[in-house]
Amino acid sequence: MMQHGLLALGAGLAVGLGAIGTGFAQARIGAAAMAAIAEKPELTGRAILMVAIPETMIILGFAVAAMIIVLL
Amino acid sequence: MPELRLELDRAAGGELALDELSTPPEAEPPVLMRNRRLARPFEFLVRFLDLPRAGTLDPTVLMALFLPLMVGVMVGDVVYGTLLFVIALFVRRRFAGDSAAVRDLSRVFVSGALSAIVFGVLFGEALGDVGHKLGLPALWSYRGGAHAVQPLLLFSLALGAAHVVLGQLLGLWQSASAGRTVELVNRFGSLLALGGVVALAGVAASRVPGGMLAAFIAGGVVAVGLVLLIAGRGALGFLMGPLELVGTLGNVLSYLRLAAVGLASTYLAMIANELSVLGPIWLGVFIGLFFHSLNLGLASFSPMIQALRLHYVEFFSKFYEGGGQPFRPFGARVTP
Repeated sequence: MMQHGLLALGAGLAVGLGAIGTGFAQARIGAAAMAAIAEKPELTGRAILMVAIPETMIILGFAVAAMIIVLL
Repeated sequence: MPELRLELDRAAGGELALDELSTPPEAEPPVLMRNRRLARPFEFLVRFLDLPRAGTLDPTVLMALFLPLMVGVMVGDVVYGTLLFVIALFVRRRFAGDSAAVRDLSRVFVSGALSAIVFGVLFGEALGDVGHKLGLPALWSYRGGAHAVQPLLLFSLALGAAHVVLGQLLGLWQSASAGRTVELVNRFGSLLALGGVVALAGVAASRVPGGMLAAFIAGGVVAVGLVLLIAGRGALGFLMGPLELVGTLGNVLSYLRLAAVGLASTYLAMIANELSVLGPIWLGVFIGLFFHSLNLGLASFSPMIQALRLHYVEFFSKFYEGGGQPFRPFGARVTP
């Protein structure tokens, strides 16, 4: 039972910390992207692309959490 | 050109002075996308990123194929799919008017909603676990159960690998037809290395027969791919080649979001159901309505954004060349 709890905690930490990292990155990129779009609206598509890039971090966190839950 | 001259000559009644101007070699011809009727609404989403450069591939048809598929995997609920379908039709009827963007987007949403209904039948989901409790059978795998995570994860990864490899093949075609040899070799190396890594993963999970020998061959393929990735880039290649392989693997892993967003949507719906049976019935109906409409709002927005991102970042980065000049026909529209 104890072990299950620790596994669940680990999975939660993997997703949560990844989300914090993504949040920090997206906050800055998002602000810069908004500034860029205000000047050049035709950059909207590429701005979304840039904002989307740090999502890899939380996806990797999710992969680790899924591995903890499925494999262990 | 001679026919045009003849035609103009006849139209002018034989009094024609025609002067041919040579276009400067660096001038790029403008771009107009042309697709079949069903794929045409998706042109808007391609243009949203950038217009393809003249003479390069237009990915609209592939987007029309894969985007609804991905949205369907993520929503995957009969009732939510039906509601999204009705909302999209209503928006089109009510607000489309003369806005081409709203018309195209609502068509995209209709296709996504239809696919969500299909996946809802496959997952046996209607309003979360309500369908499951009423005895709706899951044709493939019910997402609310404990054993649902693994097949969903594997399916996402397989779809991701297929999508990325398709992008890489298009990239190969693009480099070959433009005659860029170094890029062709690098892209081929990237494809080989990705295939080798997938084979290694298969051996590690003992899904591929052959044991050590298979692992050795797969490792060799990865090595050859890496060499091709490094080749022709000079000293920088030793840094960029392996980095690109890691990036490609990250691209495939990124498709795990299909499973993640889908599971989150399912569990939100299940929580809404469980909260609504806690209190008296009038409060339960109110709470259920509130949380389900919240989840429906998320389902109408988040899967589309995620699927778009998978296309723009993971798929297009393998072959797409933007920066085309939009085609604007001569003349002006006469408004009646």
